Amino acid sequence: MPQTTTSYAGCDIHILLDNDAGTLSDVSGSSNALSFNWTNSTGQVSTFGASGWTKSNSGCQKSGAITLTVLGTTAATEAYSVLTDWFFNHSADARTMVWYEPDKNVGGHKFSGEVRLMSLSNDRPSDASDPVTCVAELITDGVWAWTTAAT
Amino acid sequence: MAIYRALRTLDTGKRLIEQGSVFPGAWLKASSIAILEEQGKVAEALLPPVFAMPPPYKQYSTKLSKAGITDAAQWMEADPVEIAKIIGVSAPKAADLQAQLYKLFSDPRRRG
Repeated sequence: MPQTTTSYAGCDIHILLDNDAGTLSDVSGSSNALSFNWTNSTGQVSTFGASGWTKSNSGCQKSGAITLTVLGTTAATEAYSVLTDWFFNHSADARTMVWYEPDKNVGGHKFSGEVRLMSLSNDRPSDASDPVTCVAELITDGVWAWTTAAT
Repeated sequence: MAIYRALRTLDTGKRLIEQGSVFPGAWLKASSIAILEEQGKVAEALLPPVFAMPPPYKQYSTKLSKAGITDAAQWMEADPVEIAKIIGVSAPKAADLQAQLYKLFSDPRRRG
């Protein structure tokens, strides 16, 4: 098989997250890392007389854990304020999250669905010159979709 | 514009085109179609001639052929008002037949 020509870096990932008004807002410019882990539940099948390699069956349920790292910023519309407001004032709400990779252009991967906010982790070292960051742990709520951006 | 098949689920922002479904190329820009074709995410749908269509569509094949509509793709892309005149049904009925054709040629949805 020929070597791929379509690999990509994460630098132009485009991230959208619901704000307080329920409107998807672009938080890419105040976010600096995204990681996600999709999980498919599986089970083991075990019967008498079938020793050897374990058999597994496929999952009944799927879920995803998403970690979004954002910069500490002061603008109300940027990721840090959106997430902090979500935690302090609307923590019971699920919000829509969408991201495109490698970018928002035609043919890119689009991931979209609802998430709930689990935690916000903040380190504030006194001796670091880098901007402070906040790490949001999100858990998927319901169906997530993987589609192709077509416009 | 041809009729295309989505080989991946496509999101236009306004509509979701499910993987396996057929859709009019006019739904997307030509430049987008070109990119998606290159990536293997859409392909022009291979659709049968009108004479090879199953009932109840086959009954219209002679009238359609005489009007120059020889395959399903041409039928699906045509103006339903024109189709209504050709096959002698009401315009809503013609539009309904066209909509059914899109469903007929779409692959069953797969969920995993």
